[in-house]
This record gives sequence, C-alpha cells and structure tokens, in this order.
Amino acid sequence: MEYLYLFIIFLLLVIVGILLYFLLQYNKQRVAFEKEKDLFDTKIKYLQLENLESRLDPHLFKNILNSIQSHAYQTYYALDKMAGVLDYILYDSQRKLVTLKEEHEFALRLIDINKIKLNPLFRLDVRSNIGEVEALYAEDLVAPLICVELIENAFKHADLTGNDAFITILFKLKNGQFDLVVSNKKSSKGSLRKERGGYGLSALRERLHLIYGPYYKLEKSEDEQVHSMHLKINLYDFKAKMYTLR
Amino acid sequence: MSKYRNSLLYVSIIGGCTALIYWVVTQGSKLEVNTKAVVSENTAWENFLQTLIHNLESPLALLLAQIVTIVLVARVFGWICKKIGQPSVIGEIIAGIALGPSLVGTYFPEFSAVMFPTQSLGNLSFLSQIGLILFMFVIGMELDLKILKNKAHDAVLISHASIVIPFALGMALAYYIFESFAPDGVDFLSFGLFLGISMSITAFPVLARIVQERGLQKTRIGTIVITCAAADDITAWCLLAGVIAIVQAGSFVSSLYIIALAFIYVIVMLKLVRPFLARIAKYQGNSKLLSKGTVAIFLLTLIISAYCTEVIGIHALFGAFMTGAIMPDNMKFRTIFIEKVEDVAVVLFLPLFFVYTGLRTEIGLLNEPYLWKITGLIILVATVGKFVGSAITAKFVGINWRDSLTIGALMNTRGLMELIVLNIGFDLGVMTGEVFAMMVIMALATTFMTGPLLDLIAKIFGPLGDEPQHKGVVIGKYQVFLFFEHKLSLAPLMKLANAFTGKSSVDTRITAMHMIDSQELNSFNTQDYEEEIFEAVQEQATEMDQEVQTYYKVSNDIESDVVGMVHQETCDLLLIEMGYSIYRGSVLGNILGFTTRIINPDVLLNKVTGREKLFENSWFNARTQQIMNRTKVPLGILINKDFQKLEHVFLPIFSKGDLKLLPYAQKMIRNNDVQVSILDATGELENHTEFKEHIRLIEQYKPNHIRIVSNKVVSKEFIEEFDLMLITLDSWKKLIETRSIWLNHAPSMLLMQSL
Repeated sequence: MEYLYLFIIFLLLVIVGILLYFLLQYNKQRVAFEKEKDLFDTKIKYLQLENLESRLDPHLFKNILNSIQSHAYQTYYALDKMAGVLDYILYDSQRKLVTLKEEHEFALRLIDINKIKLNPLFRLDVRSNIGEVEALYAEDLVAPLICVELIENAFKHADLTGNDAFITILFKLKNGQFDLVVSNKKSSKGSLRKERGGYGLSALRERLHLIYGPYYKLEKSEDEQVHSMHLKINLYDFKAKMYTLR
Repeated sequence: MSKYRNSLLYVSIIGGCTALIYWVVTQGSKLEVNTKAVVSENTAWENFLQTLIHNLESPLALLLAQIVTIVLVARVFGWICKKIGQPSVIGEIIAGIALGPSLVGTYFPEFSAVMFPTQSLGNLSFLSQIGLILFMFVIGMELDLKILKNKAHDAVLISHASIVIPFALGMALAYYIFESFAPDGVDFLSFGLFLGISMSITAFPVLARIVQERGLQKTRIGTIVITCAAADDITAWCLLAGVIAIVQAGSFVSSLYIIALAFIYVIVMLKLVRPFLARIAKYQGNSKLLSKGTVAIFLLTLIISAYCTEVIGIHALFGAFMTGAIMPDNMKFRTIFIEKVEDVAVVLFLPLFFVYTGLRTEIGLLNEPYLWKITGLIILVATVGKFVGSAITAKFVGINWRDSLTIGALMNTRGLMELIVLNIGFDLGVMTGEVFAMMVIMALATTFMTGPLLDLIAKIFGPLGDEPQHKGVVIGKYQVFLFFEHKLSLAPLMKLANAFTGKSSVDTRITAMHMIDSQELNSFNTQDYEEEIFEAVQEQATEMDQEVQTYYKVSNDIESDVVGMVHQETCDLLLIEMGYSIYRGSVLGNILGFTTRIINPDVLLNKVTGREKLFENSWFNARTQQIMNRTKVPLGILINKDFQKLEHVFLPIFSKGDLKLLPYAQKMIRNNDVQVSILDATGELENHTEFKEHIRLIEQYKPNHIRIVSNKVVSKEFIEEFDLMLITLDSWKKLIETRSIWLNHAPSMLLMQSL
C-alpha cells in the first residue's frame, strides 16, 4: 500500500517536474521571440527611415537638376545664337553694306544672348515696327554692326538688378527713315572708369559720319533716371545720293 | 395631378367655348331668311391680292413706306458724306434731291409715281413741318444766351456785319435778276428782301458740328465762331420774321401791324411765359426725370407759341425757335429736354423735310447754260458776301488772317437753315421753281465748300486752332491704350493696363481714349461731357496711383479714329471692353443681325468685299468687330464678369499661337505679383522647349508665381478660383464653337488678338 502512495507521489513529482520543465522552456522561447520581434521592429523602422532618406535626397537633386538643366539649356540656347552672330560677323560684316533686315535679325540675336544675364522677369521690351510696304528693308543700305554699340551700351550701363530697371529697344522703319531707339534706366552709381573702353561710341559716330554724312542723326537724351540714344538714318535720301554718285 | 390641373382647365375652357360658338353659329345661320351672299366673282386668292393692294395704297401705309425709304436712303447718303469728310447733313439733303424729280423722278418715273404720288405730298409736308417745329425748338434750346451776354462784342459785330453785307449784296443781285426770274405779281421789295435774307443765313447746327469734328470747340477761334453763329441765328430769324411779315402784308406799311403784333408776342413770351416756365423747372429741378405733366406743359407751350406766330403771320418755326430760346437756363433741364426731343426730330423727321424739299427741287428746270450761269453768280455772291464779309470784319476787329479766314469759311456754311428759309419763301410764292432750285444748289455748294476751304486755309497758314498739347512723342516707351465707351468699363480696363505697365511712367505710358459720335452730342453739353470724362479718368488714376494720359475726341467715325490713333502713336497694346452683339445667339438674330448692319454700312462694305463672312456668327457688336478687323496692333478684348482684382490668372494653351501670351503673363507677374497657372491642354509646351525653359526660369526666380497644370478636365471648382482668363481670340472662338461647358464658370476673360 505504502508503495502505491510513494509511487503516486513520485508520479506527481515527475509530472510537476515535467510541467515545470515545459514552463521554463516556454518562457525561454517567449523571451527569444520577443527579442526577435523587437529586433525586427527596429529593423523595419530603420528600413523605413532609410527609404525616406533615399527618397528625400533625389528630390533635392531634382531641384538642382532643374536649375542645371535650365542653365544648360540657356547655355545651349546662347551658344546657338552666338553661332548665328559669329556667322554674321565673319561673313556678312565683310560686305560694305548689308540689308536692314540682316542687321535687324543680328541685333535681335545679340539681345537674346544678352538676356542670359537677366532675371527672366526683367523689364526688357524689344519692339520692331517695320512698315509693311518698306522696300528699303531688303536693300543693301546699312553699314554692318551699326546697332551693336547702342544695344551693348544699354546692357552695360543699365542697372540690371534694380527694382524698376528696364531696357527698351525700338526698331522702326517708316517712309524710308530708320529709327533705333535704345533707352535704359541708369544705374544710381556713376560708371567706373575702366582702363579700356569708352572708345565705342565715338568710333560709331565717326563711322556713321563717314558713311551717311548728312543723312544720319545720333541723339542722346538723358535725365536723372533714363538714358536714351536715338539713331536716325534717312535711308531714302541716302539711297538717292548713292545712285546719283554712281 | 396639380401639374395637369391648369392644362386641363385651359383645354376645357377653350373647348367648351368653341363648342358654344359653333352651336350659336349653326343655330344663327338658320335665322337667315332673305340674305344674299356678298361674294365677288373673284377667287379667294384674287380677293386677297385686291385687299393687299388696297391696303398698300392707303394713305397711312404709303406714308409709313415713304418714311422707311426716306430714312434709309438719307442714312446711306449721310454715311457716304461722312466718309468723304463732309457733314452728313449734306448727304441727307442730296438724298432728298435724288429721291425727287431731279434723279429718281427722271429715271424711274414709275417708282416715283408709286412711292411719291402728288396727293401724298400733303401728308409728307405736314409731317416734315411738325419735324421742323421740333427741330427749331431744339436749335433754340441749344443756343446759350449767356454766351452772348458775357462774351465778345467783337463776335456780335462780326456776326452783324456778316449778315448785313450779304444781305445788301443779295438785294443788289435781286435788282439784277428781278425782271427775268421773279414770279408774276411779286413786288420787288419782297423778292429782294427774301434773296437778301437767304444770302445771310448761317447754319448754326452744321457749323457747331464742323467745329466739334475739327476739335476747335475749346480754342479761341471756336468760341468766337460759335458765338458769332449764335448771334447770327437770332438776328437772322428776327429779320426773317420781319421779312415774312412784309411779304404777307404786301407792303411795308401794312406789315407794321404784323410787326407790332409780333413785338407783343415776343414781350409776352419773355415777360410772362419765361418766368412761368422757369418756376416750373425750379420745382422739378431736383429729380433727374421730368414728370409727364411737366413735359406736357412745355410741349404745349411750344405748340401754342408756334400756333400764335403762325396766326400772326411770321411762321410757326419762329415760335418754336423762340420757345426753345426761352427755356429755363438750368443746364440739366435743357439737356434732358434736348435728348428727349432731338432724336425723334433729327433721325426721323428731318430727313422727311429734306426729301420734301428735294421733291420740290427740280434741277431739270435749269436746262439752259444761261440759268447755270445765274446759279454760279448766286453762289459767287453768297460766298463773297458771307465769306469775305465776315473775314474782313474779323480782320478789322484785330483777329489774324488765318483765324479771320477760318471764321469766314465757317460762317459761309448755310446747310439746312437755308433750306428752311427757302421753303418758306417758296410757300409764300416769292420764288419760282427755278430760283428755288438755284438757291438749293447754292445752299449745298456753300455748305460743301466749308470743309475743303478749311483744309486749304490750314494748308496755307498752318494747322487751325491752338497748338495741340502733345506731351512729346514718347518714342520707345511701352504704350498701352485703352478705349472705353462707358464710364463703367473704365475701371477694369485701367486695372488691366496697370498690370501690363506697372507703376513706372518712365518707360511706359497709359492713354485712356474716349470718343463720342459727333451726332450723339449737341454743342450745348459737349464741354460738360468732356470734363466729366476727364474727371472720371483722373479719379481712377489717383485711386490706382498711376499716371494716365487722356485723349478725348468728338468723332465722325469712331472706329476709324481709334484705329488711326493707335497706328499713329506707336501703341503696343490696345485694350477695349467687348460690346455684345444684341442679336447674339438666337436663330432670329442670325438672320436679323443682317438688318442692323444696314444701319452701319461699314460692316456691310466689309461683307461685300469679303473681309467678313456674310452670315458669320458674330459674337461681337459692330464696333468691336470693326476695331478687330482693322487694327494692326495687339488688341485685348475684355469680357467683364465682375472683374474686381487681379491676383490669379488662368492661361490655357491649346495651340502654338497661344504661346504668344507668355510675355503678357510675364509682365503681369513682374508688375502686379500675379500668380499664373498655365494649362497645357494639348501638350503643346512639351514641343516648345524654349517656352518651357522660360517658364522654368521664371519659376526659379520667383517661386510660387507660375505653374504648369495638365488637368485634362477643367472642373468648375478649379476654374472658379481664378480672377482672369488670358486666352487668344482664336482659341476662345474654338472653345465657344465646341461649347465647352466650363466656360460658363470661367472668370472674366481677356481675349488677345496679337499679330
């Protein structure tokens, strides 16, 4: 009988022992699982962060890319125009006289090149007012590169970053009279004297005088704010004189 | 059920009553015992035709048809004259002569016989007399007696001299031609006096109009001439009254009775009626509208006065003129009244008078060279008397040659006043048909030569009037012109102009143009009107802190002047507000639209020459269309849908042409900090790198001010956010044609027509 009790007690002990063992095992496993889960969570967070970072960076790049692309385009654009300008200077300006049309197109290209240094919102008004019936537009009557100096000067002396700065350029051909008006807002500071330069305008005047004699006028008008140059050439009379001299 | 209740009621009432009527008729026809059918032998169709012809020949129908013909023909001739730079009155007079026996009567006698049968002339005559009475009333009102009181004894002197000299020359001429041309039984005094008076007439309305059209009204010479003409008018009409009295009475002595009566009449008008009218006006003075009662009193005064003068024997027109002249001085009051009466009198009745005159003028009577020589002589005497007479006097009182000659040329204008006098003379029997025809030709010739004479004087002595105050030709500036018809459209247009120019006036300039048709305005209120317009513009300018130039003109042909002005100045943008076509959109309108175009022959001309399609569905009124067709500068047409502020602009791009709008958007961003949303509807931007790059560049320099959206569908919520839609005219037309629904929700639009 006693053995039976002992056996039962033993059996109970064994069962408890086994249960305890399993309990301990289970606990161990649980801790391991939790550990793993934590690790996993942190990994996910890390991955998310990484993902965000990798998305953030290219966006920044995209902006920069935009700028560069823009600049690259501008450069391409300017180079393209420059090619045209070079063509004109290399080949056409060797001729004694060119058509007003060629000179006009050249000047427009020159202005386009100059645009690169401008804020895109800059007040630049370029207008061409060529009468429909002006036959002189397509005749060789204009000395090449005659418009350059005035336009270059405007870009040189205009206060390009000022709030109310502007440049206006008007080409006009009416009744055989060619007008080029270039006005710009003056920079508030007096111009710095540079070692080279200051030669252009007087050279232009001399050239005009030699070619057009009494048929041209180069007027300068100026007040505190605006500097304006007005070149008038009476192509009609000039042409008449050329033919009588021939 | 209630939906059908009304219909049911309707059907049952109509049906029930029809049944009742049918029953009564069937029962009633049984009552007929001895009736004979009133049936003619003709068929129903012939019956109908007969009635129609009968109706056509009834006096009222004929009169109405005559009025329609006359008004239309007069307008066409008037328009032609306007086009060649003559006052339209000349065209209307010529229209009258053309419709008369001189042209239509000779070449289309059948038409003439149907349209203007002799028995119908009586009606026409009465109607035109009524018209003249109204017209003279207006002329009287347009005279500002205060001008005469305050200003220039010189003017009165010139004016009187310019009456007396031609009068004397006219008498001399009468002596020369009395034997061969005076009608039988007319004494020399009557004949001579009439010839004299008809030489010394000046047409105040025509002269005032010429002065306005040439922009002289504010110059010294303009004032002098107007004053002279006013004094001339009064003096001549008084003289005429005297002359009529003498002719009616037969001798000078017996005319004294009439003249005495006339004096009493004038005194009664001045001392009794004038204060009475003034008092009524005072009580009415506050409100802008006149009550019907007041109008009735004034019109009755007019008619009673005309009646009195007619009875006294100095012609009803004098009474009408007198009533006009004694109307209350209150400017507003006169203006309102002039507006009330003038349109009917001038547009409807005056052409009747011209045609009536024309019908009596038989140029055919002058069938010998000798008669034409006499006509020439008459013209010569008339011109010398008036032109040289007034010019010499003007020079004598110390006006320089140029202005003196101008005064002479202007005073030589006889116009329709002369016709009125001639008709009176013809009615009195002082003139024969021949002399009448000669004198009508003289009136035409002297009026016609005024314009060319002025041009000639201007050519010899330099431009007339004071030097125009041109504030320097602003070559090189970016110029925006805006043309407004209504003061209401001034503010939105100014706002737009400001967006394109910015505040700086150093390199930009805004000019606000307002023009008014010379026929819409009478000399009486011109100045007030101009000041009002100028003030409105300045008010806006101050509000916006922007410098604005004003340009105001009384114009003969507004569209041409607008286009001419923008072409003459180097204009970079012209802004106008869209005028809607009245007939827009309806089927009837598309057909009827054609009829309104007859009233404006310019449009018709374009259609004939093929510049416009004949039945083109025009969304614009004639003026907008004209300006659109003719202008060669970029044009912006504003469709105003409660345009208040300009902050957010929508710019849809459908085609390559729309890319031209970018520079305007750029200006708006720069000048007004406007935000621009560009809708790339068809992917056009992708194909034009240059523009895309430009937009990108702007975005970099000024972030948050420009963006590209590419919604395929424009939703109501999206479009309603914007203040303005900037679109090219072509794209807009396409949108309209495809009936884009979102246009209904679109904001105000600026349609750009750039070239």
